[in-house]
Amino acid sequence: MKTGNASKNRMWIWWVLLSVVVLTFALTWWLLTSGDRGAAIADVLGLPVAVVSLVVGVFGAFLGARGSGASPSGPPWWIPELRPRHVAVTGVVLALFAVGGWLYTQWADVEVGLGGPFLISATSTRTIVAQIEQPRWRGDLEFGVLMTSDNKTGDCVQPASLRIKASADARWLEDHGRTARTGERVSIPIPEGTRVVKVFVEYLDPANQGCEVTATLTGGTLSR
Amino acid sequence: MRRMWAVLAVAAMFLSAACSTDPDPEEDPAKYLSGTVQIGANSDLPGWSDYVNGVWSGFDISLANWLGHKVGFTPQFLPMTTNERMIKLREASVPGVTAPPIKLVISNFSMTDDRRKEIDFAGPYFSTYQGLLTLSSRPVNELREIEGREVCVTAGSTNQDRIGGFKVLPLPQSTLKQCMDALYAGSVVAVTSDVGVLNGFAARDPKRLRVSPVQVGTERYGIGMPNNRPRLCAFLKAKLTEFVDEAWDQKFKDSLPGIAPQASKPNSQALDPCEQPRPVAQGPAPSATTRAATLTTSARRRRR
Repeated sequence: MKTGNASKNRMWIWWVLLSVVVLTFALTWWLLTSGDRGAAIADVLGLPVAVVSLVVGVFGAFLGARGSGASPSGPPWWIPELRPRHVAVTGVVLALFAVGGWLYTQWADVEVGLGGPFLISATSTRTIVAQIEQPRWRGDLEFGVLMTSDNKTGDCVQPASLRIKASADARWLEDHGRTARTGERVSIPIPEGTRVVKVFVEYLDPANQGCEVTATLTGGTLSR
Repeated sequence: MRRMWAVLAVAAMFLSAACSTDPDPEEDPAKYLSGTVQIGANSDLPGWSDYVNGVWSGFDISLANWLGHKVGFTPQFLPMTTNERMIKLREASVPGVTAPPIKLVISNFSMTDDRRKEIDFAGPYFSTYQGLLTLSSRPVNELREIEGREVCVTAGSTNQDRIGGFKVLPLPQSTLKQCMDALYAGSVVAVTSDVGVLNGFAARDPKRLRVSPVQVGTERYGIGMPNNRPRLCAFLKAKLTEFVDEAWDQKFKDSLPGIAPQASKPNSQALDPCEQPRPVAQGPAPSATTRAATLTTSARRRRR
């Protein structure tokens, strides 16, 4: 009877551990895909998870040593009885996660920081250094154009456009750039291996109204 | 088992229909502009929209009549003050309104970012500046000559918003006719409005009135319509392109004889893009300019 109970305990613990591993990978995956928000959440969760893990480990060891009745030389009851098949399955699962994670870091879209709102008019321009948490660029830089105006007079948003030009390592990517109205998205191919990308923004004033608007480049993404 | 799948499928259909956030489909523009179409217009702007002895005349009236002829509707002009243009179009923009007080406004209606938050525009069909009209006996050549003096302006106009930035004493009136009475009476030194409109008044009484060379800001006239009408806007934009190419010069000459159009005629191939509708039941309404961005991003996500 005792042998049967020990075997059940080992299986139960085994499945708990497997569930914890899967949940941990799922949480990590979600945090990775959440960009800056995920990084912030991971920062906050780091300390409590570490402390709880330590407490659970020590408490479990204490309970196991006191209640198992196992011989001092043998493994305590909460250590799973590892078999070659278990090891192989675990290895394959972990390898799949590792390969998946590697592929994700290579091919998933990456968030690009393009600064906050800025004032722009026909007499001013703006140069934005695109921020990315990767050493080198590869893929298409995509972002939305948003313009707003709080002025009571002037028709400065709907008919207006921004001229967008990008440079890669101080080389213009297009001679004349491209224009985008508010609400439109822009996609600029970035040569592989580029280190610094700058976006040059110019406001095209409709009918020379002397407009000044608040512009934002939203949802910056490196699409790979 | 089969029955259970059928029940689940039907439930999924109802759920997806309930969760759908697509806005109500917009009425066919040709149907919206059929029969008798109520059009809001000022009634006291010579050369633009003037109602005298039971007859409407002016450039805006000519445009409305041209549209009626091309599209196949009968314009019914409803006189309104400058301020009432926005009020009536706001009323017509309320979802579910089956009998809007007006369907269009064609009345020296300047397109602005602020107004676009509540209504839609098709245009521009005319560009002008804000200027000053004075008595010929008391001409004004520079803004500093009227600093600290009373200047009449129509309430609810872009002119009123802009004149607030100058060192004058604005005297808002409901109509330009009231402003003209004040000018003739000598209670104000000038009337400020769009140069195109002031030219119309000066042409009626050239001996006593003078349009000052002072010009500020830019006004671009469009056809006003209730909010979230991208199909109607695109329909009218196409018609305006035709109007500018085919009829603009003659209508201007007929309505404002002796006045040079200068740079007032728009480029028919560069009329403003139409606004896209905002999605319904999505929490607080975003501004007119942000909603298009939201839609574009959502559409892109769906495609991927």
